[in-house]
Amino acid sequence: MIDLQYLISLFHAGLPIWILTGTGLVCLLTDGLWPKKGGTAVFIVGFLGMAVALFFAFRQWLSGETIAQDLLVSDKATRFFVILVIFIGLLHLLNSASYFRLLGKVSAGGSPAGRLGPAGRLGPAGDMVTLTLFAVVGMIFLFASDHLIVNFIGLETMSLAVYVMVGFNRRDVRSGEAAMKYYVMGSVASALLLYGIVLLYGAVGEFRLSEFHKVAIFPDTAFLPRIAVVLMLGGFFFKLALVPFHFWVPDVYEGAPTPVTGFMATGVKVAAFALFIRVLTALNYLPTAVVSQVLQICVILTLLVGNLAAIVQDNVKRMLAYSSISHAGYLLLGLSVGYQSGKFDPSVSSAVLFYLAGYSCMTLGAFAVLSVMVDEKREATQFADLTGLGYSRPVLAAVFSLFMISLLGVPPTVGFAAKYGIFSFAVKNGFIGLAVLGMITTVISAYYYLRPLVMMYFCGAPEKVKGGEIPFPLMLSLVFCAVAVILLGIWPLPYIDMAQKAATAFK
Amino acid sequence: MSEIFLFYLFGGLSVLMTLLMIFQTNPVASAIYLVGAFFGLAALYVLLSAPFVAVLQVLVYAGAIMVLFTFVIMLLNIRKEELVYDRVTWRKTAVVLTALFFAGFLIWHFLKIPVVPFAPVEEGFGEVHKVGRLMFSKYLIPFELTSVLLLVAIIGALVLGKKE
Amino acid sequence: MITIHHYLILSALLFTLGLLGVVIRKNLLIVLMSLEVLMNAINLLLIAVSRYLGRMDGHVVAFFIMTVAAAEAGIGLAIVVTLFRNRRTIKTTDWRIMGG
Repeated sequence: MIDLQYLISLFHAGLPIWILTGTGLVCLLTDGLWPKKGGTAVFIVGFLGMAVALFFAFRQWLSGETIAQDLLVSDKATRFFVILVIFIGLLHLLNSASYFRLLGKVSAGGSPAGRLGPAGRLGPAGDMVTLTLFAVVGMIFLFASDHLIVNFIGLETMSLAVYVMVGFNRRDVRSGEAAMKYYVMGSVASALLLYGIVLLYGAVGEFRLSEFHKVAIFPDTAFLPRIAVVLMLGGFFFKLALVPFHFWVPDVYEGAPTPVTGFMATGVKVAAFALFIRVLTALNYLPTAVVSQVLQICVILTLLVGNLAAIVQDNVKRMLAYSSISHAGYLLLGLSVGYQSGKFDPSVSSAVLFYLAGYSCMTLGAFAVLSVMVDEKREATQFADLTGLGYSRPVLAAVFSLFMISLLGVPPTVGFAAKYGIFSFAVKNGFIGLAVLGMITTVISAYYYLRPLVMMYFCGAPEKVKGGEIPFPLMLSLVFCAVAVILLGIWPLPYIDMAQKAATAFK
Repeated sequence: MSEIFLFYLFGGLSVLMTLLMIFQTNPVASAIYLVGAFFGLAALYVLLSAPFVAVLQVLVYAGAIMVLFTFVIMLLNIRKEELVYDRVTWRKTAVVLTALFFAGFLIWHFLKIPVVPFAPVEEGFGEVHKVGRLMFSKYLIPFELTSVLLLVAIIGALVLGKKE
Repeated sequence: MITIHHYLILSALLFTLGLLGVVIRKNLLIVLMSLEVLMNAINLLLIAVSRYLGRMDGHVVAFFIMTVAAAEAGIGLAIVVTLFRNRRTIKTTDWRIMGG
């Protein structure tokens, strides 16, 4: 039964979540009270609320003690991911604030019936903030519980918010089609995942991952968990955009508004990976040896398809879509090398956690640069639009080059440190073949990551300057991402230490 | 014996109605068949001694969701020439075969589960009183989380549907 | 005698039919209805399992799943309405990125 003690400990365990939810409600009210401010007030309120939530998340991380609470886990790993997704949410707010301002400016003087149209044709900008806040709340619930149903409802909260964010440019047909495609695919994925969860419940009689070590499996029904897990993996692979369930990714990433694409490529993936590690760890207690083979096959396919398909793209957003697929492949590689004689050893996830943090910084940075590339009638994100950017917008081009180099994994950046961590675990655990494959595909990826650099610096002068001025919020997020990419690359030890501390919580 | 008769009656009803729903050209007819399938499932829930869920099934699915569907169908005012049969393609055939294989695989495995009859249930199993107690104590957090979920759905529908 | 097998198989059949509906139909409204069938198949499985285990947790969870399905249907229909305003069609074949 519920008593005061329970509610107090619940309050402490989920403090960042309550702050985020409350801020979301305040944003709704602010939007209603000052509708003419163009959402600026709402952006400020949302930003401050997230910053406060981030502060308390840090305090929770430093306090160290684990608050055990029914259905709401608050251990080191959860806190690490809470900090990470709130960071992603903050950067997304900065990016989208600038995106809206730029679209407003660019199209105000241009043709009125442009494809993106005047800012008024967009969804109301303030609602983007509210949706972001609730999406982050959903993400936190997605991994901050050991009860699979809570995780599922968190997943759905996040997904519904993101479906709407993808369709935010209401007059842009591509945006709407991307939203529809993402919606149908995402719903099927959710259904597969849920079917797996329910089958697993039927087999073991338990929704809670932390109780799995207590359940007794009868030999007669030992195949049931296996089927259930394969179904759940199908759902996960959809959400994580891994081959063979990746086919929706390029279209959706291309059609969505640029900042939202960045949010999908980072936030959704980070949250889904957090739950994935939790589930893999819990499955050790069930007879599900098939998982490690499935993961390895998936890693090989994802690395090959993601990297090879990225080469032939003409649109930078599509290229980054395939790049995010291949990065998910590297992350999965980091997890699949944790299998020793059928058991998953969660200590390898420290490298994955660090990779996730670095990947988020560089991907969000790259999409932040692309958010500036707005023309009168469209998002100017073809490779051709980058021509001569190195001369017309030197700072922007330099920052973009930095993110591309980091995504490729060249030494002074975080991309290198992250990939090094993953591959060294692979070699240490005896998965030489996977490590070699990872290195070969990294070399292949040099082609498509360096192509924007060639376009920007060696293909002549631009016909005209593309994109608008960099607004202040975007400057902030660009500086943050660039500094993080370099800092985590040069001096990664404290952050690797953090990731290791977090990884010990998985057991 | 009557239980088995009822199972086949309502189970068959819902499968048949779902099939009819899929192969309609007119979405209004599909919606009506889908309501039929939902009613069949509601009857099965009663057989499984879950009266609360059965009531919810009729109220939420057959009631609210299907009204929403028919409302949108009416709102869209679809042209006649759109309502045609889809072409049969190789891709679809492959998908159908894969799906049937998937179903066969699942069923083949399910048949291997040892046969255990349902144990008799306690007094008041699945009735509002007990389910409600569980929902507001053990499942308080997911219950509150669903309110956030519904709020997101409301905001989302407004964002997408609002007049400019 | 009715056992868990009957319900497992019925739910697998319904789930497969729902998947088929999603993949083979081009009419978006029917795709959305098929998604509802998927959720219903899961609910049936859940209720049967809780009858089998003799626990009521599944009934509560079924309630949550219905809520999720309702919210999902709401968003899906909103997306369909937006698309229809722009394209005047609900058939996926007529679109650029969802063709096929």
